[in-house]
Amino acid sequence: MVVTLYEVSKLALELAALVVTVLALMVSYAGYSKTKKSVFARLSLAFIGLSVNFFLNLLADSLFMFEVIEDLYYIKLIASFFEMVGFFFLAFSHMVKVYQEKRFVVAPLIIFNLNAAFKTLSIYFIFYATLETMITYSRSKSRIVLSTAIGLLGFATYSILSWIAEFVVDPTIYQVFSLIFQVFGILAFFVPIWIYYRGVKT
Amino acid sequence: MMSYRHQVRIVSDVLLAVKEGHEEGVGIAQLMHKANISYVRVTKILNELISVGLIEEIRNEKSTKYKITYLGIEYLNEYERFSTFAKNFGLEI
Repeated sequence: MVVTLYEVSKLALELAALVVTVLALMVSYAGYSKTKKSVFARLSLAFIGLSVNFFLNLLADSLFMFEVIEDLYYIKLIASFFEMVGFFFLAFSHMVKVYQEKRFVVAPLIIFNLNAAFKTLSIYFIFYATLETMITYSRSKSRIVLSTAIGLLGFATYSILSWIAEFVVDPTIYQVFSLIFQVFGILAFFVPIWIYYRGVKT
Repeated sequence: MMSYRHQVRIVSDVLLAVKEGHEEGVGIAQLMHKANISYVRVTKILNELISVGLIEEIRNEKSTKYKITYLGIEYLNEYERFSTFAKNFGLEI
C-alpha cells in the first residue's frame, strides 16, 4: 500500500471540513430550536448536506486508501448529491432573502450527466450564494461577510478544479490547487462559527 | 409561521428598548416609541416577558416602569449571536 502526500492531505482536509460543517450545523440547529427562524432551518439543512458530503468523501477516500474498496463511483455520486443539496439550501436562503427584498438575479445553468449535474448544480449554487454574499458585503462592509464570500469562492474553485482533475491525464496541479482552495473555503467557513463560539459565555 | 418570525424580532426590539432604560427602567410610552408598536401589542408582549422572567415591573405612585433582568440580557445576547452568525453568511433573521 503506497500512500501519497496528496491522499493524506485530502483526508485531513475532508476531516477538517467535516468538523467545520458539523460545528456550523450545531450553531444553525441551536439557532432554529431557540428562535424558530426558518433561515436557521435552511442553514441546518445546508450544513447537514455538506456534512454528509464530507463524511462520505472521507469514508470513500479512507476505504480506497486502505484498499478496502476500489470503485468509488456510487459513494462519490451520493456525496455529490448531498453536496448539491447542501449548497442548494445555502443558495435557497439567499433566494428567499432576494425575494423578500424584491430583487431578481439570474445565472446560467448547464447540465451534462447525473454526477456532472450534481457537481454543476453545486457550483451554480455556490456561485449564486457567493454573489449574494458579495452584494451583502457591498452594503454592510463587514470583513467577516467578505471572508465568507471568499470562502464560498474557495469551495467553488475547489469543486471546479477537483472536477477537472478527473478528466485530465496529469491531474496533479489541479489536485494541489483544489486542496489549497479547499483550505481557503474551510478557514473562511470557520470564521463565523469561531465568532459565535467566542461570544458564548461559559 | 410568518407572524411568529415577526414576533421574535419585535420581542428582541422591546427587550432592547427596555435594556436601554438601564437601572431606572423605561415607561410604556417610551417603549411604544422605541420599539415602534401599538399600546395593545406592547402591553401583551410586556406581560409575556414578565411571565417568563425576561423583564421586571417597577411600580411606584407616579408611574410603572420596566427593567430588563439578567435572563433578559442573556436572551438578547443569544439573539445577537445568532443574528451575527446569519449575517456573516450574508443572511438576515
